[in-house]
Amino acid sequence: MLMTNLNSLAIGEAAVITLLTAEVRLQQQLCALGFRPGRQVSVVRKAGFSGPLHLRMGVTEVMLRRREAQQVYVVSVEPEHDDETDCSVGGAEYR
Amino acid sequence: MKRIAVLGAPNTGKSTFFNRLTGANANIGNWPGITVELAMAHVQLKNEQVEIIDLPGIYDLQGLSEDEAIVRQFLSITPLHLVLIVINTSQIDHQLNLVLQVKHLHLPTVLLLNMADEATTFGVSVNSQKIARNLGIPVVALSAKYGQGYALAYDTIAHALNQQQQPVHLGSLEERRVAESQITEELEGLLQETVEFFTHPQETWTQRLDRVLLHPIWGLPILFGALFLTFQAIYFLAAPWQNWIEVGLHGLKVVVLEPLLAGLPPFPKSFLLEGLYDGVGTVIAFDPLITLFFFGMAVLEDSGYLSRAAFLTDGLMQRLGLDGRSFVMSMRGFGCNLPAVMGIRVMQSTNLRLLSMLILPFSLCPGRLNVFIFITAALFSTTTAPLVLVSLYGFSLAATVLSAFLLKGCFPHQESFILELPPYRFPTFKQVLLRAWYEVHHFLRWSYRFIISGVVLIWLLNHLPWNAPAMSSQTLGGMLGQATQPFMAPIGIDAQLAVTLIFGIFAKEVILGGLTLIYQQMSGATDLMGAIAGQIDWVQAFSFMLFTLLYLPCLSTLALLKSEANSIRFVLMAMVWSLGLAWTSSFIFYQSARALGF
Ligand SMILES: Nc1nc2c(ncn2[C@@H]2O[C@H](COP(=O)(O)OP(=O)(O)OP(=O)(O)O)[C@@H](O)[C@H]2O)c(=O)[nH]1
Ligand SMILES: [Mg+2]
Repeated sequence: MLMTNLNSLAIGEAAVITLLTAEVRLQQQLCALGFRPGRQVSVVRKAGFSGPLHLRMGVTEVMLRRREAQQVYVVSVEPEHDDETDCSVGGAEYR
Repeated sequence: MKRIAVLGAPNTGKSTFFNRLTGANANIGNWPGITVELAMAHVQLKNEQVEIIDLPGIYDLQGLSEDEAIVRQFLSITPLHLVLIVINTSQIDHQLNLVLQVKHLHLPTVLLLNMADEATTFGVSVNSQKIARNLGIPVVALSAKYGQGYALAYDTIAHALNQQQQPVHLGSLEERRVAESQITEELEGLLQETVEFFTHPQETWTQRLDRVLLHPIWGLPILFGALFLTFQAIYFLAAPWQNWIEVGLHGLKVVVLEPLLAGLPPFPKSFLLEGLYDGVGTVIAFDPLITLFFFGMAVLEDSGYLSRAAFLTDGLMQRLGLDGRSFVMSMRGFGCNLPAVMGIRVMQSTNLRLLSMLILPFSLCPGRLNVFIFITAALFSTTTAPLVLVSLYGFSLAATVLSAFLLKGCFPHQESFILELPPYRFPTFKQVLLRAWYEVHHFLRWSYRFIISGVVLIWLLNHLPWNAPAMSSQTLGGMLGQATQPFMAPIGIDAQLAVTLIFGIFAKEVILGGLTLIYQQMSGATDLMGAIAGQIDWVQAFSFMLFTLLYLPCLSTLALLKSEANSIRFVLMAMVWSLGLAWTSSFIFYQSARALGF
């Protein structure tokens, strides 16, 4: 499976976070909202005017700017496929 | 007295719990970062007198934003008997992080798993006994909003407090810090054992609603349409009340006050009736409008739509050197500039905060709206008046956008922006009522001090010295007004109007009171509206409103800007900028309208 960044996922696609390359401050904010390697995240929609992404991780929904999303690396998964190693809260929920 | 602190991530219901426990009236809203200051209340808990402190929400004990620093500072210097950690149960998978960090501080702690009602709906099931055993602290699941589990939480807290005779004084947090990797490991283990997530196939109603409200094309039009309709509705609902109050006040004056004061000499009589009574009366008539505004704000803030507004506008705001939060604060500024300026604290970059502080005061607050409604009613027909008001909202927005666009170069920053989109919530009726009542009460109490003194001052200025004919250019007010004319004549604002503007700095309502008493005197009472229309034409009036909208925020806002920016220079710059913008806009409008023959 190929590693890409979060920003290049299509709407409706789900992926598992593998690596955060952001600087300390951003990294902390991301962690605090649940972005950790192993967590599954899906892209719900993208705002117009190159606005932020609407992401879902389990029950939590957040918006993240595209520039910051580029610093989150992921590998895509099939939305139906439930990964057992993480707390597998996301994914299956979206469609 | 024993002391308890309420700690937790933003938007988890800390203030809701704090209010329930203490009967206080802290601000509640479905937006991370409603509480930005420590709130304190005293309460009798079983048989002990306790001081409870509601803290701003923090994501992380090591966090770098200003409010996180405030909380850290608080924890390290304040001796505490108990810490209540409030988390949103649905988000336990990452909020336990903070819980574990606090656990390693070895403070006496009670964990409250809040929003238990939502957790059930979202399919998150937590075994609170297991967590309690694992962490070695009492854990209670509850709903601070609706009350389930509250009694147990209350007993648990009282019991824990009873066990703790001496306060714990932390000193340095740094010394007790544990490696992040250890915390993560503990967290994973804890989750595995105690939490179950049930994925559920149907969409929640938040998801369904978001599909419409966050629609890529319709989202923004819906946002602006909804704002427009809300303002229209408030305006429409308040109008009859305003009318009744005006009629009532007038009746009271004619039937009771005039006969009562008939024996007084003309000077004090005119001061009391035309000065104080009418001046303040005009402002009172707008109170229903203000009340409805606060109602609307309470519902809006609690709905969760603010975060959606941030999502929709962030792309555009980014081009202005701002972000979605700046837009949300501008929106809150339409209710009152003060909480909006305070809300900026959640931003980390100083430059972003400063730029936001520069543009926020252009939000057309109800104080200014009062003045505009009054003037448009006097000078425009009933069909054009609402359009004029809408155009003023347009100018408010335009001034915001233009200022940000022109000044963003002076405030470069690299702030990242991540925001939780919480589920839609609806405030309970009691919540809204209490909140609106509290705001109105607070607002009226301090604003009337300004309004009464402002009105009295304007009246005195227009009547002193005693031997000068009232309202003439020989009075102090007349002279002051004349002195402004070199600047104000080119924008069509005459001496009298200029004097009201000077006092309008205290509070915009003073302008309203001032206008009333000046024109009341000129017309010899009765037809106030007619008197205004006889003195100035619509071009002057619009220029005056434009200037009023932009020239300076009220004194309280200026004082807040000063304390938030911690710089006199910044406040002076903000004042010069807004005065300059106001004068230029009015000048362009006034001169072109005249040149076009209006
Ligand atoms: N469903 C539900 N909603 C709740 C509960 N407790 C609080 N809320 C709502 O959650 C939102 C946040 O509440 P606040 O009390 O302002 O949260 P806070 O933790 O003080 O937030 P900050 O001050 O921003 O850190 C509001 O919309 C509340 O009405 C609860 O038990 N159940
Ligand atoms: Mg709060």
